[in-house]
Amino acid sequence: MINILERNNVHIMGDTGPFLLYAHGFGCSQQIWDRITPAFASTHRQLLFDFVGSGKSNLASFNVTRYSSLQGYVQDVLDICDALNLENGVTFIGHSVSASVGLLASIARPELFDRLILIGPSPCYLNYPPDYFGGFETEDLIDLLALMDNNYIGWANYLAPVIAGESEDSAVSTELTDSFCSTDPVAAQVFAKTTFFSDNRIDLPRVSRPCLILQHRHDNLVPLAIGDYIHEKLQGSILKVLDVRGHCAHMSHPSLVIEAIHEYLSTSQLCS
Amino acid sequence: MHVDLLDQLPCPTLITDESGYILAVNTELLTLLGGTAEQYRQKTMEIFFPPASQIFLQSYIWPMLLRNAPVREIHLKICNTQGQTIPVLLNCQRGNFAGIHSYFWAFFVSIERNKFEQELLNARKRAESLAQALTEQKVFIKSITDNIPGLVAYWDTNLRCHFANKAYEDWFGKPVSAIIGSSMQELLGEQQFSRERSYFQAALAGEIQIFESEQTKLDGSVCATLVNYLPDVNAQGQVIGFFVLVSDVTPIKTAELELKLAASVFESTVEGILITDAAGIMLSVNPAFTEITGYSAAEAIGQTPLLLKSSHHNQEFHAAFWQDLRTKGKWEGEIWNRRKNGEIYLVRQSVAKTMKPYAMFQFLMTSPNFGVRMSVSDTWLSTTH
Repeated sequence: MINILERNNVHIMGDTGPFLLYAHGFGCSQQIWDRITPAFASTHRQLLFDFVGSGKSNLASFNVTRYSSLQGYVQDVLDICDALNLENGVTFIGHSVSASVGLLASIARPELFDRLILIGPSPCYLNYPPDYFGGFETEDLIDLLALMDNNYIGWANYLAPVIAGESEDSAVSTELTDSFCSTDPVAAQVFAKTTFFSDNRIDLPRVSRPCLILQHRHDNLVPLAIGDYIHEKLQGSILKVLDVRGHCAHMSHPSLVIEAIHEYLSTSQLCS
Repeated sequence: MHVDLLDQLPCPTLITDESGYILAVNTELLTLLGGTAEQYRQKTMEIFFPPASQIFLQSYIWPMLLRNAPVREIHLKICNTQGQTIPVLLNCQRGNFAGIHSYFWAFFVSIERNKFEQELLNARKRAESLAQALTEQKVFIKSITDNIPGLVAYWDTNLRCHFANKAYEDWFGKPVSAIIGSSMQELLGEQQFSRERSYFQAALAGEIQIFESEQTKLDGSVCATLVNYLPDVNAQGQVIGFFVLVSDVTPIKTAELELKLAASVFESTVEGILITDAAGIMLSVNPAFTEITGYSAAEAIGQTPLLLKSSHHNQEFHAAFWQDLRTKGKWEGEIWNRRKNGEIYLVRQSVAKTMKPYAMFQFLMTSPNFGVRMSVSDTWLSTTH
């Protein structure tokens, strides 16, 4: 039996208060939350993890088929909640693609989640003119995969023996280096494809939990109009535009994100 | 002042604030991309990058910079004013420019290096797909050899096993992984090894060896095997090993013995016997047949039993004969036949249809009373009558 908490490198901070579950996006690991978590240390139990294939997760558990669909990442979230016997009251905080992961998880298990906070969400990164402009064309995303190949298949990987892979045992069990954003090339490719080619627009109306959408004003990954689009499709959602440039307000402008989360948590606590 | 220094740097360089707004570009960068420093000032640096590189910037590079991690040798593409994309390597770090926190972005044009790395990447992908194809082929060959009801193996010139199929596991009671790599002496045991020595020595000398060998299985049962040693000869004509195919021929051996027994009865009985095919052509006669009829086997084979017919019987007799064969599958009675020398003689004869697949007729003549038994198949009945 796989230990889920080890598999996903789960860390829990604090021992009282409601749960905040933080999910990192494509590219990095749970370390992206370092500037947010101190603000909730005394009021919440904070749960951090790495998706399988990212950060310091157990790479041996990586499975191309499972993680070629966002459902694989959704299952990571649900596995962790189950391993910790969480049944309700969880606030999900997801960045980028993990916003979609959280929404899908809340559709699967609405009772588990109290509310969701989505930082830089996008239900679909591709343009579907004339009605939807996710920001990118298919060729852009193919270029991205090639760029990732160039960056991740470093010299060590060029020279590593080609594995014929007759059985599971002979699979590569690479240890990721400790540096931030280090990632396994195969897992990163799969995560990139899953992230950028997913289209979850039809799932938005199926979400029943309240959501806070934090949209960056100048985000090269997510056009401003996407925030409005999601707000319109998610019943009972609140849209807040952060007046920042970039896609990682929780890192570049943590105080803005903390303030927005505080405000949202207090409002929805009043409502409930 | 700062800009002067920047302009002396031998690589394209860009300085931005913490949000990516351009504070300065140096001459090298302008040479690479076109445009003027004025034109770029206070724009955001994203204008230099095509979409894929922008995603990469947002997903990796900014998060790394925001955590003060070093950004070194990152592959990106950069666009010039003509809309062409140029592969570059990026180094970036935090610094201080004109009194404000800023990021210094240094680029190295990597067109040649990219081509080279792309070739390596392609070579690696080819190697991976070949390895994959090889694996699939190995699995396919394994499934074929594992399903062959016999032992299949390969031994090199040092008599080390390189391949053994699953049948070896059952036969020797060891996993294939333990058999591969072991020596023939270890696997067969001293006794069998010396018994087969001359065969594999001959195989290693390039001669195909086919021989029968009696072997004792793990459960103690003895079985007859047919062993093939097939030399593996390389392009230079050297024997580099040999293939082994061992078939359990015990059931065939048993059947052979039974056949031999039946044949000896056929040969030595005092009753004359003849066998025909479905068309009534005699296929075989025994020595007693020759003695009774005077026809040698060579004379009889290829003829029909009409060879023996006398004109002694009328049409009713023949009709009754065929009627019995058709309805009862046999006929028994006395019949007048004619010998080779013309003599007419009376025999007791019985005829019976044999079982398929032979579909033969069998005539059996009893001697010394000159009785004859005869059997006829439906086919012949229908074609001749």
